[in-house]
Amino acid sequence: MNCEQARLLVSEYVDGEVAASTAASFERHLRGCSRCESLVKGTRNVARLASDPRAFSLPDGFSERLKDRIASSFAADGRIGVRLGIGKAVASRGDHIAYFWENERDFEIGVGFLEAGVRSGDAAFVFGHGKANARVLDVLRTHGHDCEALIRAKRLFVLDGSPAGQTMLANIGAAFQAAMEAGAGTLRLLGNLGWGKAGWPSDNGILDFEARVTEAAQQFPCVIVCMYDVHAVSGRVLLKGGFETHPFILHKLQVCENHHHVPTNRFLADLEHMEATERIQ
Amino acid sequence: MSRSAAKPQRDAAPPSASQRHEVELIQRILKGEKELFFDLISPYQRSVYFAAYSVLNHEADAEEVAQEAFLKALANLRHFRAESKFSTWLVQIAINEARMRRRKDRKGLYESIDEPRQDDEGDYIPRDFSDWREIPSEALERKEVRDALAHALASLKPIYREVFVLRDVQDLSIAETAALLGIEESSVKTRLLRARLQMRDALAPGLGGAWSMTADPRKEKRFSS
Repeated sequence: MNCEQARLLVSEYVDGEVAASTAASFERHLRGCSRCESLVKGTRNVARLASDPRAFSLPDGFSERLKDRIASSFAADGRIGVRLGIGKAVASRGDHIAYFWENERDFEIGVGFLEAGVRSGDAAFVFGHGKANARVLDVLRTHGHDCEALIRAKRLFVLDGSPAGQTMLANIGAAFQAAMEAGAGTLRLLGNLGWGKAGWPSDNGILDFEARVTEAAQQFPCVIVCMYDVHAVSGRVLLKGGFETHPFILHKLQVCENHHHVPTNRFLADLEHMEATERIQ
Repeated sequence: MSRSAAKPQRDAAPPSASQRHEVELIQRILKGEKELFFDLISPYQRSVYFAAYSVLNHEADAEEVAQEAFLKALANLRHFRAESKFSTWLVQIAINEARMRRRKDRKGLYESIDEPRQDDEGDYIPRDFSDWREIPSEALERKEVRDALAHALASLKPIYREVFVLRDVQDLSIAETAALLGIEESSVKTRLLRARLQMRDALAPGLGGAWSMTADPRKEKRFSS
């Protein structure tokens, strides 16, 4: 056996995996070759040191941080939560959340919800009117995300509104399905609805859509955050849309249960009644 | 003594008391006692962290991925099947998460090493010393020795570091290492040889005195092949 042949056996020899006859020949070589003997000693030494728990230890404070992270990952209902990327807010999959914003900074904080998803491998959905969608994408780009590459990789989806609520629900469902087929675990949708905008349903039509989204969200591993621009929408839209159709509200960087929420069936029945009354008047 | 020879016996052995305790903990967590989750995973913090580190070679990223892996394990605990080892299941999640992070976050940087080229597994010519000055286990009490090991580990290419961490740091068998990394056992052996030789070479400069505490700078030459 020469040095080159011996060298290839060093590691297996150290592990005791070389057949007896080969081992004997290997050992004969070692007795006459201090360089190969040094390889065996060094390799054995390295393997022994590496398996000693003192050799490679956890970073300082690792356990404490892990404990905190686990504790803060339970959502209000005790289920394993999705960290929203907005403060320490945590939601459950299936949650439909309203987020009220009034300035540039609030808007950027809201987009943090999608950013956290992009970073952790979730699929992100930008759903809304043209101007708002462009603004969301601008924030993502400003924060260094390559939106076009994310879109190509089916990790970022940009969805526009439609005059019919049912079409919007179908479009979102199809996009969710495509993302899941591309391997997404959690789906995050950030909505900026086109209240009063051309190409969108009437206010009542959007209210109807919002109420149905609460039910639809339960069918997917998704979290849906709807952004309400408090300076741009009417008081009625804030009350009916923001408060009555969302079971949760993101307030002061926390997800809170919303006691103003009206269950979908009742909300839709009320809405129908209201529309009928409006028609009579 | 052969480490690998002992492993199949260990794998085939009936569940140990600690494994039975683990199964019981899992059942209680699934029934709602979520606060027990940290107790369940506590013994595996090091395995999961270093599995992630072996892929990413970055402490903060590895810690984040390790946390994500534990949370994923919690979310999917009901899918864990008791016939596999809980530790292996956790390490597999960590490796998958870390690889996903590497692909997504550092595509440009890591693209070329994500898929190893064949020549990466070729022969390695180790540095030539006439003898090896043993680094005793007690030396691990010294920070400079631990730092040298960490530095040596960081200097390995990912394909070698992954195998070295699973096989030598975590003491997994060749078969377990191969299964976790999704490679052939023969590749584990080839990569392990190279990883160990490179670790040896990276640690050797300290042998002149730093580790052994004897000032004896050695001459160095290369094997001629």
